[in-house]
Amino acid sequence: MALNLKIVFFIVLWGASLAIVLSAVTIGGYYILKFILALIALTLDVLAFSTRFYTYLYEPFIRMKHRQVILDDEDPYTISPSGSAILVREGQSIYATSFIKIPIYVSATEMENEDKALFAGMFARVISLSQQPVKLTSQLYVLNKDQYMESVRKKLNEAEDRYNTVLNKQLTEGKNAKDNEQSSMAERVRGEVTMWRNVLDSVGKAKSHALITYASVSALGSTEDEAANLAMARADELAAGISAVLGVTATVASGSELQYFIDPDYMIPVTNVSERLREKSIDKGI
Amino acid sequence: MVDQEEVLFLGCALVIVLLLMVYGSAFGPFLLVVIVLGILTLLLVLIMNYADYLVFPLFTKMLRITIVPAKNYTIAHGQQAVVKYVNGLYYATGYLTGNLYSYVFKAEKADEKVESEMVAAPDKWEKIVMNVDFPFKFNIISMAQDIQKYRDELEGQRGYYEFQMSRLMQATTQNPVDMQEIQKKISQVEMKMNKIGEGEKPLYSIIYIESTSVGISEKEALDILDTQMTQLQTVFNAFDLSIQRIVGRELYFLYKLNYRLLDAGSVMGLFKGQK
Repeated sequence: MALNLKIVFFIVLWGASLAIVLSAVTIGGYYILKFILALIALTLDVLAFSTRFYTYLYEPFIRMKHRQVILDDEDPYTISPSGSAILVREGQSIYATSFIKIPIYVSATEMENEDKALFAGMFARVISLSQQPVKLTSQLYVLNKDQYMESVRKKLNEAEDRYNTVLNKQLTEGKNAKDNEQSSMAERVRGEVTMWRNVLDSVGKAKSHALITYASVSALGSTEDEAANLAMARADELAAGISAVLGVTATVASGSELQYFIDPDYMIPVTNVSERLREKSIDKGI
Repeated sequence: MVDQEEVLFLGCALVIVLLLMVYGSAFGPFLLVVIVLGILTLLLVLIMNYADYLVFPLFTKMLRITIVPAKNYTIAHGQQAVVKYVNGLYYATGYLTGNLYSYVFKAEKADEKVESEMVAAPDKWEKIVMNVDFPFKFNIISMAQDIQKYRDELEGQRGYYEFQMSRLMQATTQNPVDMQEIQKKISQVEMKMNKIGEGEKPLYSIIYIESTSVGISEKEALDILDTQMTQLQTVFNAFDLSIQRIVGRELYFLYKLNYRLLDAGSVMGLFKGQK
């Protein structure tokens, strides 16, 4: 369809240019008119050539208002009813894209040279798994500190509650019990409380980034369901292949977690923005 | 590499200019001006063909045109970033591209060199992740090629080179430089065939890196993004990927790739102009 439109625009513009050139060289007298016709022909020639790359801009450019060329004024995607794919409508076609999370917890610092070559080789195998285009992405994003600190606070509160319960039990059960298992339990829970307090302190101070690796596949369909089901089938197949090659449990992402892979405002959560802007200001010496 | 479409478009553009020049005498006193304008038109067409990332941003900058690819998104005048406006903040996303030739099947280097690069890759990657303190995405779009078809192509190439070699050997005056060159090509083809035999798959692949910055104004977000892109270009130089900033029409296509993948041929066609 896009190719046809391109060819139509090209033929019309180039044909007009050719016709004008032929008119300019054949009509007699009026050099100024011939010159103007030559100018128009050259302009149309350039426009005809530009259709090679810019056909998609022609119609929106003609409809341009306030120097804004609007290609689309809808949201760039919607999430499928099943929550397992995002849907993009382009003309009569619907593309569905599914995302596969790849949890990798190994580090090069723990590897020997042979392991490193093997690991790099495994990635080479992952990217050659499918004869359909696959996108493999490693994304470094800013952690939503508020959310993370909230979960740490919750764990700290739970640990403190457990510690208080153990202490109360010690007081009610007397000295004998305290000396034995209650004592070791109290020590363990107190250690856990200290650990979560330290995590909370360090998270508050440090820059928090997270690295996530995922793959994505797309499928084209004439209906939303058809596209989403096809994408899901491809994603399942690819997830199985990735799991087998890398030895991890690759799973298909769904629901709101899809937005972490797509929306720029999820890469830098709004709760961390003021902190980042303050850092930038300090860097600039403002 | 010149494709059929390129030949058609360039050829047709050239025909108009040639017609004007051949029949230049019909323009009387304007002959010289028409010839100069014709040459300028040809130059503009060639720049659009081989470096449209220079022409298009200049055009949108001069006319201060903003492109709106979707609700809440705009492409800046300079065509260097896609900006999302949400909650009173501007999120600017820019793109870099490069090639993976050093790391994938197409490599035409000695085995040992490829091996050492593969060993160093995980370390380099971790150093980059540790040193970068802003969000970025490293994307590889790949598609395995049909092995049998690829093998047939390689065999065809080997046959052709061997034929050339035999002709050179039968010639009365032998040229050792040419023979060495053809022998090298035969070795490269055989190396690729051996790799297929070892289980490696030939790939179509492209990479691109994107980064996002945030600011309370569009200008601030774009300025921060420029700094981030320069830093990414510097740190990814360690991988020898020939990293280049994407400016111009490719930006829109890369933005669309966030939401859906095209077939590999269409995707790779986007980068011809900047390679």
